[in-house]
Amino acid sequence: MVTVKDVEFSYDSRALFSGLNFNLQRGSIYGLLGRNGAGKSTLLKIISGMIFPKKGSVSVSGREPYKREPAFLADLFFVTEDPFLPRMRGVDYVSLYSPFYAKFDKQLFVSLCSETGIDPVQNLSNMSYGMKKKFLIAFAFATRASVIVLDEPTNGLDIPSKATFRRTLASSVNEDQIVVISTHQVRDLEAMIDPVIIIDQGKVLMNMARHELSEILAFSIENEIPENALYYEKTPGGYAVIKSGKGEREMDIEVLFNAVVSGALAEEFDLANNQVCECAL
Amino acid sequence: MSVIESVKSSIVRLYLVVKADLFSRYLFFWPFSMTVFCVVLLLSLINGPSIEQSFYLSTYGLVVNVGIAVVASAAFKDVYKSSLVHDWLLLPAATYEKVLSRIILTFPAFVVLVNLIFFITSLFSYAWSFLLNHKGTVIFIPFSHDALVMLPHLIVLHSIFFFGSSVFRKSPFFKTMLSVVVLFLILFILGSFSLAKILTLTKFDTASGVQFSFLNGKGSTSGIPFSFKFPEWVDMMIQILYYVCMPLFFWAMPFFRMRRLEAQRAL
Repeated sequence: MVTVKDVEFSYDSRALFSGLNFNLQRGSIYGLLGRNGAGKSTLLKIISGMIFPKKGSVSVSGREPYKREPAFLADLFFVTEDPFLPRMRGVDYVSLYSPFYAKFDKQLFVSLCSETGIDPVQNLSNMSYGMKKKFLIAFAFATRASVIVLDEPTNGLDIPSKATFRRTLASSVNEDQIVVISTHQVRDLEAMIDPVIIIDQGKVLMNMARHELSEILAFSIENEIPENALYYEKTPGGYAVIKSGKGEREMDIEVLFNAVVSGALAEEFDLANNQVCECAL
Repeated sequence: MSVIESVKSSIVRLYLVVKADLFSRYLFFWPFSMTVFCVVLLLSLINGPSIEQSFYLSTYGLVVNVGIAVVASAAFKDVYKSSLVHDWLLLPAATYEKVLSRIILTFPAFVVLVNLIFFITSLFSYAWSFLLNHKGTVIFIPFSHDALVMLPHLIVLHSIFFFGSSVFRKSPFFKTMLSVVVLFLILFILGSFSLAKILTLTKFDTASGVQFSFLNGKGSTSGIPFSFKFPEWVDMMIQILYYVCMPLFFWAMPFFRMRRLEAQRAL
């Protein structure tokens, strides 16, 4: 479990987070969404212990990331947006770095490589950006780490690789793992990410599972803007509309993101949160 | 986990870090070895069969001194690169293991490598000379007494440049050199003032033959009519400070610096 409590962070004088709070539960693939500069990558780095919050606390599986203990680092794998791989063959990389990860599954790595069309015997420095990324994603899942952090994983992947990545994600993640994916390309992973976290202006605006969202929000495409629309935006086929109530149509995360960031759903979330609190009492 | 198990796993991790560092960051050891091998072999062939041990020792001294300063200066080069810092921070090992790995690779491993290169080069030179002249040349004996004499100085040199590598993000070699020169200048000026003060206070106009024991007789005594000798324990203290405390301090400081290192500082 990942717990972020009252975290404050700033780059020099520019405050990024103040009083940031959220929890991540095991067995989920979290989608972390936010505008450019909202602090998605910074948040992932704080969770990974690569940068330290100015105030507040972060706990990952009961450990404090900033201490960067070997046991913590062996149970977390972070694939950065622009990963670096040394000049060596893929198999050599695996033989050098896999011993650091006690749960490393070589069979899984081989099968993920063959699924994604990666030749581990090839020199990593000769691989394209997309191939390097696929190699590291395969390595990340093969570590069987409890927390896997992926920063823009579909950047640089070709269309078939994106589909393979989705399959990998669906088949490789188990109940003990937490996967956090930061992405701008929500369409690539729309069906996979659940719950969805939206951050903006240093705050978590939304951290809800899809089934919770479908209980309170209904998505539809309409020719006219309905009077009871909480949010709408023009689309090629009419208007993408969000209304209050139970939804039957598949959720559109891009529309949801725009609605949340615009503040149109603030009341709905307050209501939903109050209901959760009453249930808890 | 018991203390013994913890130490065991730490030793295993250190071995893994050294291995990973060697094959991913210190691949330049091979072209370096080949270059030194070719240059030294060429020089020894030019010198012919009359080559003496002093040739190897002086060349060895030059290579190992300059080499250690350069290699130690680059010990944390990757840590200050935004594209590489993630690997340093996220490698599942303790900070002291990562720092220790860099010390091992840039000092003992490097010294062993240079010794081996010189030994192999001298063997090649011997074989070449024997084939041409039916007379072999001298062979460089690795870790001989003459080579080991340099070790205490190398320890100090390495520790200073290793520390410099952790402090300076850009051009650590030149910045460390500059810092050392500035420090020596300051010490020289302070020392001169102190000496002038001592000379003034002790009425040297009536004494003869000043000797400072820590200079081992190398200091100039002409015209100063007074005998001055530091007690032996002061000599010992200075040597301990210089050869033991200073290297330990300079090797330990990067550990504290790296422990507080954050990804954003490298950007």
